[in-house]
Amino acid sequence: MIILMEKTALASRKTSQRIRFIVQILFFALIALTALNSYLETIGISIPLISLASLHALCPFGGVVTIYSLVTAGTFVQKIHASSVVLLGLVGITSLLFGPVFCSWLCPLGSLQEWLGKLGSKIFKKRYNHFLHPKLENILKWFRYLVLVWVIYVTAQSGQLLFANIDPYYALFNFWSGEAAIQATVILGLTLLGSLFVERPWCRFACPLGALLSLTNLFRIFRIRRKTSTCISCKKCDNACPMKIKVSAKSIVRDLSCNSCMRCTSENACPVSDTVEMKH
Amino acid sequence: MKIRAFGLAIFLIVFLFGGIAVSGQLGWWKTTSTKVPVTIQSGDFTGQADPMDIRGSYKFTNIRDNFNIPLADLASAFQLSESQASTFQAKELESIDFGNPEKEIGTGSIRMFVAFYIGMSPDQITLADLPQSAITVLLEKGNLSDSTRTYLGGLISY
Repeated sequence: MIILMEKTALASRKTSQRIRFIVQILFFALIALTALNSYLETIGISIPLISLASLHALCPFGGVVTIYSLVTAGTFVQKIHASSVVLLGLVGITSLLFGPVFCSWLCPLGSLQEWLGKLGSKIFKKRYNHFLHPKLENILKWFRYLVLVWVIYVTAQSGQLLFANIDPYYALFNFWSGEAAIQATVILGLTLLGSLFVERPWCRFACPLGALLSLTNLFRIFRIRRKTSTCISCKKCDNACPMKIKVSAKSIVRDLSCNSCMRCTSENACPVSDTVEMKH
Repeated sequence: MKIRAFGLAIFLIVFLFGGIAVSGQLGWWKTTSTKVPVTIQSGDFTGQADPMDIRGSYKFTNIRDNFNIPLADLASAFQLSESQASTFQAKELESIDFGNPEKEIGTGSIRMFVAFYIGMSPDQITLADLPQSAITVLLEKGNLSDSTRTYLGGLISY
């Protein structure tokens, strides 16, 4: 009976991880096909039922960089359209509710880094995600906030989307078109290579959208909560967290690094039911 | 209230695609620009479409319509036939060889051409490089200010 219950619990865990994986695949494929379609249109071909929108039009970060221009001049920064502002609003609402779920469930670049990380963990076993000294990681994790401030400042000053020149997300879906800047392609290459050693290096250390969304961890409605009365202090939640948050030391996770992947929860790593959960 | 992975997945998909559908109904979901530049808010050109807001995605026909510049003038300024110019986008200028690799001819060039053509002066715009053919068209057909005529005179190569 106990074996049966354990098997059922394990199957449930696998299912919940698969659900996130399926959502990641769905959004990755959607963005990849849209980017491909946008390129194919320039040579007179198009994929039926797939949008012809440019990649810039489908990135919520465009909404962030164009805010200053929209408020002061009533216009969008070059290459950015109203759809980016709509997406920022929608992603903002999901973040207010559940934290940066966009990063862990929807962002194609984040997903690709995570998939490469799985390969890295197979290659390097327990050394994976432990190559950087914790002190260095603690310093590097603040860098993305500097990137956020810098991007907003230079975009407001220039009125141009200068971030596209270093944006690995844009390079990922445009490297075949020749439109991606060399710097962006190099950064993409370094990001993907780094993903074999460190979990989501771009997301954790450099992504300005991730930096902005991470702030919702301070006041999101549904939080990761640990029930201390049933916790057996096995620390499996700590080991499962790709952002190295010490979940076992908190009753509510407010860490800015949390991206709501739910790997620490009782649906996944935590062996005790109803103990680590995302709840109001 | 507890959120499980399945519920979160359903919420995200329904909320995002539903939100996009609703914003589309409200006319907010636009993935392309309107091809109409912002208007100038102060100075001698108040109310005029701002040439500095021309985007790389603008076709020459959009520029013709916004600034009342004949397509033939745009075409000859940038060494195109009129039929080529009718579908040509400003950003495509970067792929044309104008015979002088030291000059960067691109969207900035068409902005400057249009600004000079409608009478704006060098001190009112962001300067860029122009092909010789554009300078010729401006000197012949543009509504040039004295300062622009002097400026362009200095750019003529013999």
